[in-house]
Amino acid sequence: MESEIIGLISLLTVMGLLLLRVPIAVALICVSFVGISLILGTKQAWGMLSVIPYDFAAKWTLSSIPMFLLMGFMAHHGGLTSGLFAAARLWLSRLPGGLAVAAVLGCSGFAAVSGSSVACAAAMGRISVPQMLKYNYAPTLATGAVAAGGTLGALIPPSILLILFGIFTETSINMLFVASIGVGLFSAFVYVLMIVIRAWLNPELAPPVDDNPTWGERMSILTEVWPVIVLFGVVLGGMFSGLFTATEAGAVGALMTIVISFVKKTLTFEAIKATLVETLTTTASLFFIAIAASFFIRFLTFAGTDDLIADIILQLGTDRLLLILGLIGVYLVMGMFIDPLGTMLLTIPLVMPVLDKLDIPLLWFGVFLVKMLEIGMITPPIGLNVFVLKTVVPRDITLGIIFKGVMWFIAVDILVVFLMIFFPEMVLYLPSLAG
Amino acid sequence: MIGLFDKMISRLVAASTGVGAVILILMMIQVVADVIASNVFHQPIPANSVVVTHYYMVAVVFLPIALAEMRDDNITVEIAFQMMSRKAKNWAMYFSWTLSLIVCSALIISLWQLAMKKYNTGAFVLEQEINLITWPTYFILPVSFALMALVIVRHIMKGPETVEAEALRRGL
Repeated sequence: MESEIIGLISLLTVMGLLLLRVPIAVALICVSFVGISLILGTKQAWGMLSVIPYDFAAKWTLSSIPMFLLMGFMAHHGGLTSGLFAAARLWLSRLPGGLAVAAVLGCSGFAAVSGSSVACAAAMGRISVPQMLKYNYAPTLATGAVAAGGTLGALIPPSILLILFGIFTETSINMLFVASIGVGLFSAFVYVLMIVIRAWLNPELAPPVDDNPTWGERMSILTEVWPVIVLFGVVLGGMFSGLFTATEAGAVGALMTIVISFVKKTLTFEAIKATLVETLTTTASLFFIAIAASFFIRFLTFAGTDDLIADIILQLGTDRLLLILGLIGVYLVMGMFIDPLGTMLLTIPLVMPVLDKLDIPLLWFGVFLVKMLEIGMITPPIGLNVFVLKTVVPRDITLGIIFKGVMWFIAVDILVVFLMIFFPEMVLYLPSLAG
Repeated sequence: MIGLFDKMISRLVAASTGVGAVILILMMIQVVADVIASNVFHQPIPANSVVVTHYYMVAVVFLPIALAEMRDDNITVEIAFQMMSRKAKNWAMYFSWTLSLIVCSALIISLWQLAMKKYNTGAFVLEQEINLITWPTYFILPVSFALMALVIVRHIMKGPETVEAEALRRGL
């Protein structure tokens, strides 16, 4: 059998196994091992199986992942992020849709210390949705703002998805962070703009909130959020100024969150235990799947399947816009069924040769990909953020209500994606300054 | 019998996670110490990156893998599974565990063979004229996957419905 055909059959087998709820990592290792055995022989497959896991894990650049996870989970369990919504609320509640705006900005603040959009949606949902419902906000707007706001978690650095993209495509992680921060903040801005316009046109969606905080109250609440601002400043400032590598920034940030929690007297045994357990299990499951993907990518390269698929795609047309539109379709569909990390690692080997031939900058593609993956987190039928939010909001809010609520946000997300396509400077301008 | 086995596995998983947690904290402290040592005293910690990558990272990545399996944290695709009947779900879970066990076994054997090879050659990394032995860290991998295999055996013994109920109780 031709090796390319073995590769194609393997791709289908992986999809079949995933549907049977075989863990992604197990499916990828299993198929790659059999595939490499058929093409190169069992001895080669055995050799790779023994070498890849250690070599993959023992990398300096990847050591930033456990450090950033530690920082994010500690900031959450240490209560550093709990004041974000309250602060944004006091400052913005007089705007049309002010509480929903505050929820989006609270999510942005959370995103600045955490790389996970699910954690962001869960934490902000618990705090902000009951408040919005209390003031008779439409449940669709209240939940939509939080589910969509959560997606900023992977766009505003630090971002675990972007670190892994950088590793697999050999792109500078610092540059990816610089490129994504603009898109992350711009996305937050258009969410806010959309909420304000909708609430202004239809006040029933978000009735005006009748509280009038004094300037003293507004200033004093800022003491609640200073840790997040300082953390973000030190971590990103250190990285972008060249003082720290990503790992060092993560470690300094993690230590700072521990010290700040201690000062705030929120460093309880439960908080430490939850932080350590979540950091370790997330690290382990993330690396397991990344190691398996690394094995799978080598197999597809040996089989020549990546080039075969690239040729098929290029025969369909070499128009860059058409390709990107096609990819938007692929990512929207895959995002409905597969977790973002899985989608990213499964498609990188197939897309890379095409990007290379069409001269599409990897920096731009990385940010575009993460934006698309994050849209997948809120699209039905499997929008992970929506499911997580459902578990923390009152029972009478159904999945249907939340999905209806996110539709407006998906619409503006698509607009942002098109702006990224037609104005790539939106992504590439800041890195060009930094470079 | 199952109770005793269950207790033993839980303790082993807790122990390996505990070691992982201590190493995670050590890693953070050493990286920060190196930042201070290099920027303030212009004297970086010798062979810092080798210790972080070959010692700490290997432990932090692999030791908690059994806990991730125990908590059902390994990433799966749920779409078709959610639409299956109870009976089909049970079969799918047994199939998935069997395949996981086969993959784990292959990993244990191949990683153990590599670890023995490294042990026999006394593998080390030379950095800034310091010889750091690395062969012991190679044993972390097969041991971690063996523990993961034991957790899968525990799942098979307890059955799909009990395992799912446990995951639900944890709020997953």
